[in-house]
Amino acid sequence: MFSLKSKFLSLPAREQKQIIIIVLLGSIGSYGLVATHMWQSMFEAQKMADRRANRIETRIGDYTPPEIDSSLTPKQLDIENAQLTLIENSLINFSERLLPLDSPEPRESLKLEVTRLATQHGISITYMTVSNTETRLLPAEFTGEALRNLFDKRPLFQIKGTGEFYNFIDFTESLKSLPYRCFIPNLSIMRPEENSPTGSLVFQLDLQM
Amino acid sequence: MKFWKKAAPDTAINGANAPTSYNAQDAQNELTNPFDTSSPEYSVTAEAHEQADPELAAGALTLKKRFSLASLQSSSATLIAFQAGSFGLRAALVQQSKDRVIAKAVVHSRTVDFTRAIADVMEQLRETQKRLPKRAILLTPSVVSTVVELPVSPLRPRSDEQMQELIRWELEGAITQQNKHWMIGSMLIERGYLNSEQRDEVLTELQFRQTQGGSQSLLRFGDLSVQLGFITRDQLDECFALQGKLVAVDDDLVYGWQSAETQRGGLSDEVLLSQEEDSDSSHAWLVSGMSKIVRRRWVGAFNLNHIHLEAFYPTLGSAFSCLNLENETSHQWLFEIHQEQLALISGTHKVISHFQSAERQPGNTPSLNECIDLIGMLPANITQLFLNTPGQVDLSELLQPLADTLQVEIQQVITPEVNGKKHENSDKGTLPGLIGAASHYLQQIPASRISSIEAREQKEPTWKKFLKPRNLALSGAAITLVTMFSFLGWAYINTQTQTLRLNELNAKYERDLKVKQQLQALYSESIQIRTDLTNIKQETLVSQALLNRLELDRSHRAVNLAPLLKAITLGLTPDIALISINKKQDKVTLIAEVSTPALGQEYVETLTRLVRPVHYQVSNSMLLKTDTTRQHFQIELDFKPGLANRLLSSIETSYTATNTTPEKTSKTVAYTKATTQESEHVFVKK
Repeated sequence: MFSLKSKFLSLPAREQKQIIIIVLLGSIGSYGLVATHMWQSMFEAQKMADRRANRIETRIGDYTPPEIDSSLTPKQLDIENAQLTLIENSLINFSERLLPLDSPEPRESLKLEVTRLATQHGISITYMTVSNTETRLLPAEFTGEALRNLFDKRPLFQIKGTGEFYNFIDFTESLKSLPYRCFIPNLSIMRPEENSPTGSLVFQLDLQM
Repeated sequence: MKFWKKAAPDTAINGANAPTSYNAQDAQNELTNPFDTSSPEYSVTAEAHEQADPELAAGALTLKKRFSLASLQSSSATLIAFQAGSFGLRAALVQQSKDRVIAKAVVHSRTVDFTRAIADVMEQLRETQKRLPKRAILLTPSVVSTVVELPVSPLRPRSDEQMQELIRWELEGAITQQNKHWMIGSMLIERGYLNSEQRDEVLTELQFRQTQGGSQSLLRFGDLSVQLGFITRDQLDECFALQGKLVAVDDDLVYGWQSAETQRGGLSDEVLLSQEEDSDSSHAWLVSGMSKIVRRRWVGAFNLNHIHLEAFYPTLGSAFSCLNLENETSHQWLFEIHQEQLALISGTHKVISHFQSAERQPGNTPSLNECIDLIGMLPANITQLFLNTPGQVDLSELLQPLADTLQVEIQQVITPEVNGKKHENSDKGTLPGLIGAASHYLQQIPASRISSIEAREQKEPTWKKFLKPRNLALSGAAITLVTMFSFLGWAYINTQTQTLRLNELNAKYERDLKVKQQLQALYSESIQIRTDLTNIKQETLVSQALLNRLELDRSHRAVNLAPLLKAITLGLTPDIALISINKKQDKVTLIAEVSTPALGQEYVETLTRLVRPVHYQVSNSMLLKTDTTRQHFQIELDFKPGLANRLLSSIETSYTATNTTPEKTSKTVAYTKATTQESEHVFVKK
């Protein structure tokens, strides 16, 4: 430092002045660079902060938490599911004794069985037809609507025949022995016509499977 | 009551223990000239000299005034006027009365040491008045005063620095002349150790020896006086010590100045014109100057005695202020004869317009010629010339010839009374000067009649210092630098603040977004659960309805047809014949043929009882119109769910137990048990 000072003092006044001007300009330039850099940094920081604040305002804003019903819990859902499962299990139990619809063979064998029971109880079947005979495959899962569909549009046996009243009663009771669940929703028993050779009652019934 | 705060160290001087001398010439100073400012050791020796001289050290002290009510009363108009010279120190206790200043006591001390001389004087004054004022003024020959022409208009005063620079050039000659006042011969005479005849004899012998040459020619005035036996060595050393204190060979002077152009009724036209442009004009100024070192020494000596020295006054010309002026326009002339100088002062009651001094020729009585040379020709209208002789000068042979030559009346300046009595001491010639200076200080006379010097440097106001170009430039540069670095600091702090804010906002954004997403997820889950619950409930309702229907189908529809038909036939009698039985779902319609309606009614009653166990009931019965003799009776039955349903269910259960697997059986049994319990419950209720 001392040598620099002595060298500087040994220079002519004009050169000293030039050096002072150069140092001064260099200092001002350096200051300008530093100031510009700091201004830029400050501007960037402020811009980023403002942008983030704007994003918070835009994406979150004055967010009001939604009202959530405390009763809507998975536990409640499990309870309801359990109840539904219980009902569906009952329906599945019911479905196990229903006439299968995926094949016509059980239906035809059932016709034979009904005819055999009628003959066995002295009932003469004069007419038998089955409606809703379309073939349906069993659902992949026995639940929900698929399960309920098993009970819709079940085959309906429409039977006409003649016989004695009490034989008919025995016939209806013997229907319980069929392998599939069935019942008689509609029934009509009429006196024989006056010109009937047998004088037996005329029965007309629907056997719902 | 003290009026001045004791600011000096405990070196307070009184007459008993005051220091007798200062060893101003210590070992260092013997080797180097203390007044040689070009010496590299100048600053060091000056500081050492200052430390060794307590008066110089005390000159930098500032006595603080203590305010009291008493200072507002009488004491504020009193002060002590000191006059210093080779003779020692003289002091007058002066007091301001209505329109003039009077002296209450005059004392003097011959002590060479300033501090001790002041203490000695104060001790003597304390005998006259117990409580003395603490402020003083000093008349000293060290103060040189004269009237000079300066290119400065009184209406356009320049800065103190410029005025001092101008006065310095004008006063240089007068200062040089004044230093002769402190020649050893003059001091010996003034102190009374040597008379004028003896001095002339010594001078004659000195000149003779110098013409002879040899070692004797190197003798100086004082040594020769001792050698001739006129004075003692101690007396000579005493004068040398005094000379060392009063003669300061330095260029550092202090000045005082007053405009000498103030006229009655306002300023002159010339002065008024100079207000606009005075670069070429010159104006009379009454100026004074003295060595700064001497001033500081005197101030220090007074400080050590706890006295506040206010101002310095010149010895020459102070008596002019004491002249009584008949009216404002009168012009008066004063001729002063001092030991070494002659002075002629003239002026009005406001200003001094003429101030001239000259060195005296050897001899006790000034010659008529040197007086005439100084006075010259007086104006024609002057009839009176005042004369003042502070020293012991024999004027008996001078006054009459001088009056005859000048054609004026010469009148001695009236010595003011001291404490109401006429002062008859040998120093009565000094009293007019003391009273005049005191009058000037106490503002009894116009300020421009004497030029005084402030005892302490007037500190320049801060705002004036600030307005100097160099200070303005420095201030501007400092402000610029501070602004530049403040900007950088502000930018840095703002950057840090914004960065911190950004971090906080980021954290807030992440946190709030997470909370929002969690809340939304919870809400969505809640909605999903609600939807699922609704769907499940709907499913449950539909499935439950289907199950109920299946239960009915399984129970009475599948089982109780045969019991119903049996019950229908059980109620028949031979008079009743069934025509038809129609069953549509749970509604059964019978048509029977009866002989009488009463039989039909009986059958209906019987049927009602018989179908009840199978949960049917007769809902309606009617007699149909027929064209035959037998009546047709129509009976409508409705299914009423209840006991029979449960009974048949139990029958069904027993049936299924024989046809299903054990696993299914257990489920069915459990369900049947539950329904049985429910049926029993229904029974109980019924």
